[in-house]
Amino acid sequence: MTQVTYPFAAIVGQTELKHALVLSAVDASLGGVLALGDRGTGKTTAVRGLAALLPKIEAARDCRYQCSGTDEGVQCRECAEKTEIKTHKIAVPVVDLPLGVTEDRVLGALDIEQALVNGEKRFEPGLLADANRGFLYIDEVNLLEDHLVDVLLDVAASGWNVVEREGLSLRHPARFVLIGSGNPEEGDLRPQLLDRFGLSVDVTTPDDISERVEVIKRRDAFDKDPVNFTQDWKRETTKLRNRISRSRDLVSKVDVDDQMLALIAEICIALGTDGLRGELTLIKASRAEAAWSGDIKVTEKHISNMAPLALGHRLRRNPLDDSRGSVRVERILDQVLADRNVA
Amino acid sequence: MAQNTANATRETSLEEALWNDACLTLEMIALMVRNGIANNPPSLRIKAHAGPVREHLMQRFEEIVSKTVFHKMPVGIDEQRLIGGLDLSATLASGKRIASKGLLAQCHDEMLVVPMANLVPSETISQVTSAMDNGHVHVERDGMSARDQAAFGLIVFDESDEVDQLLSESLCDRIMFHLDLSPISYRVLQHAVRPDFKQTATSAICDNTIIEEICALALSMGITSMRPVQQAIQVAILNARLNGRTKVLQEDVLTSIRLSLLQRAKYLTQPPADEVLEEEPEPEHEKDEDNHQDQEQSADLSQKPLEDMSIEALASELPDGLLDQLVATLSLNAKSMSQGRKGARQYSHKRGRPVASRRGTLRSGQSLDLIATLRAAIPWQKMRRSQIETTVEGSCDRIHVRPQDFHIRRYKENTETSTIFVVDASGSTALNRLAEAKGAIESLLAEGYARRDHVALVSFRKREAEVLLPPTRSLVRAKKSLSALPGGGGTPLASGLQSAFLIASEEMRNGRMTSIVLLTDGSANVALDGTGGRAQAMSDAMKVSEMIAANDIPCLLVDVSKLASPKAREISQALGANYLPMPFVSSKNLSDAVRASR
Repeated sequence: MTQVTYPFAAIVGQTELKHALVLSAVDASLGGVLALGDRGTGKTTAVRGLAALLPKIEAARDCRYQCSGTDEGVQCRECAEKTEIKTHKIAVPVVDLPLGVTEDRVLGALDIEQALVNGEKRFEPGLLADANRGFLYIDEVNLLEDHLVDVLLDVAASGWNVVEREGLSLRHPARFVLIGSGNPEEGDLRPQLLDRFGLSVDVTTPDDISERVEVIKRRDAFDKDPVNFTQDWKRETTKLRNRISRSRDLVSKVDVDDQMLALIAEICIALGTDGLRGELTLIKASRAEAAWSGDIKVTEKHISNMAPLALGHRLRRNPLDDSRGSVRVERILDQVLADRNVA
Repeated sequence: MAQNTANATRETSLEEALWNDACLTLEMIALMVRNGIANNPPSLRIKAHAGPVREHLMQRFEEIVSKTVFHKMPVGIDEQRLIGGLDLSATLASGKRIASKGLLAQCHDEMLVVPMANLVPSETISQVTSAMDNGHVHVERDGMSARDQAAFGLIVFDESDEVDQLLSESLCDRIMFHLDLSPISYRVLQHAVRPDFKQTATSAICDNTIIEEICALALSMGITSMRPVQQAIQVAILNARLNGRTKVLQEDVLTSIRLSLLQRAKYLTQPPADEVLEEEPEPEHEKDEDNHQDQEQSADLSQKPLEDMSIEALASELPDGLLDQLVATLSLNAKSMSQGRKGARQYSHKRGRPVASRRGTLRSGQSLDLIATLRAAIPWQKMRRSQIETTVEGSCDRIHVRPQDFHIRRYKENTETSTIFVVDASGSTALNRLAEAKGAIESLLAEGYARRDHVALVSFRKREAEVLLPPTRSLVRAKKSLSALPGGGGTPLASGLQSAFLIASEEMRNGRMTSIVLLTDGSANVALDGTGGRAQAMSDAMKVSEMIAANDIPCLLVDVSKLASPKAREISQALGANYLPMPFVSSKNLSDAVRASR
């Protein structure tokens, strides 16, 4: 059952969401993307499209955690013990966390069949293992049950999944980019989980008629003939893919000088964001943004582009100001930048 | 048919028009069914209570699509049954992992019927919508993982009315056809004939101008999601095909708007002005007779150029009375955006509706789900025995249960709510309308009592506020203290708000959803320390208001002054409150406002 996914490059509008997703692919340590917004805006389409867009990765053969052959600090025990690892190219895993998932399938558990037939203990990896080095996508993230949220937060923070069960004790790497989407009208997100996402995007439906017509037309063309439609967009897709690869190579070389670090700190203080996570994320995001535009130095422009995405969801709710987080960030940003230019 | 409508009364013509639409919808769905349900699953929402009309429609449908299987979703279906999971007994018997298919997967290429869909819990709805989006069910449960095909046709019975819970919007968004059968009476069905479509076209094209038209119309109805637009286009195509045409015409658009979009409209851009502004509950559908006088001319509507098509044109094309009907539902649709009281649910270990138990450690106040625990333990017996055999005699006959098998019973309950009434009983209010304010509160109390809400009553007059009634569920006590409430004296607004704030914080700590309803004219003249002076009193009141707002306590301010007072408005802004001037308050929309402010 191979389902053709709607090409990422062919998505009409939603520039912010697409940009955030691409950047989270450029720097996986950015902390993923949270897309909150209206129904029927193509959130899910965008995430699925991203999977097909990403360049393939080198992964160890016969490894259940698709460990990398070279990165020694983050390999599972078997791979770490091997002297030579044979690798092959695989597509970046994009794993869905479906509704109604149980904890044992998320973390992994004992293989029930082995236990029944042979009375043997054998670990059966869960979804977190599948998602290692890839993306974990949670649709309707605000409906996720609390105990699963706890589990996810724990693993996402450490990058390791530790399993202790029936005298079985093991740990395996579980580094994944968390992508969440949901409709805020159906329930609020817990602040701890909110804070965990690197970037957040408010998704709205286009209110421009011509844009809406274009959405319908392309979707219709895709539904009628998915294979040819994807073929038509192949050049665009390849262009995007190459740009992601280039940016990935560049991102570690991007320099953030002290002046820019000070600016970032200033913005965060002015906004009163809690904790350092916001500041760190903004630094990383600006770096990824610079790499994406092919620059090797972070500038004011990169920072101001990224601040609404990186900080919008970290603000304390201000009772006297019920505008969206990103709007408030932009307002403060203008102030800070204006003050700077005067000085 | 035509002669019938000509001499029938207005009521029957509306009912007939609705019934004809319903029959037309069935034909379209039948057409989709013939093309294969799984290829393009149809979906239909029927707004109607159980009754002969609905029965009749379903019967007729089953006749038309005679080979199709219908599955009914049980009301309290659990997750395991819905999406499937491990079939434990079969697994134990065979020693192999055997999955049981859930209802959604069983419905693949067949029809799923959901009765009382508005009462189905949101988790279940999410499972259904996610299967509709993906065409399959993704199961990751109990040590097994599967992807079952689940492209099913859907029929949803929406039995909501104004007081009830409304149908989930995310489900509504994904449904193609929307019918309202509630105004139809059974006698209309007697002389209804099955529409005759002899030559259907196998396909029809929809050109760009039509697509643009539908996009624009949807937007002007306040439908922002893109899904309904796609659905409406599909419906237009179906209508063209039914009529043997290979190209979508304007009349197809009109039909598709009627069948797919109209019931979901949030507003109409150019409605008869008096209807939308009207906040009072609609009386009878007596008005705007003259709006429909140009009914006869509607026949030549299809000759008009497309650009002229607007809601107005559409309205004149609609059957008599449908618009009235619609306007009544509009306020409901708009309300569902904010989904009043439905909100926060809590898992509790004591009371409420039972939900699936889950793994956990036993703590006090929780109870063990024995069956689930044993079920969890059984697959591991062989393994555990082999570990233990050597150490303990006779351990083979026992079931080995480990702490990690423990399953805890859980229940789900709606969060309790608590409403704190703060009544200004100062001289200025007493003069104006203390009695009316009391009446409004009394009706709210009655409603709160029906829902088993907690209520508290604070009044302020003279020097400071007084807590007349700490949070209670006793209606009688609340009523007594309310009617005994004297009036007169200064207006220590800040003090009243402060008391309310203290009670509210306490209630929120107790896990109740708390809101404050303030009835005042806003003319504070006693400060927090009990001294007089308008300026200080006002600034104190503003300070307390901001504190309440900062704690995210939802508020409603009812302005009881004769003319809307700017001061009361100022306070309500500081509170982040909904503002409701008294002259426009009826007890009905007051209680609506209280509900909405939560």
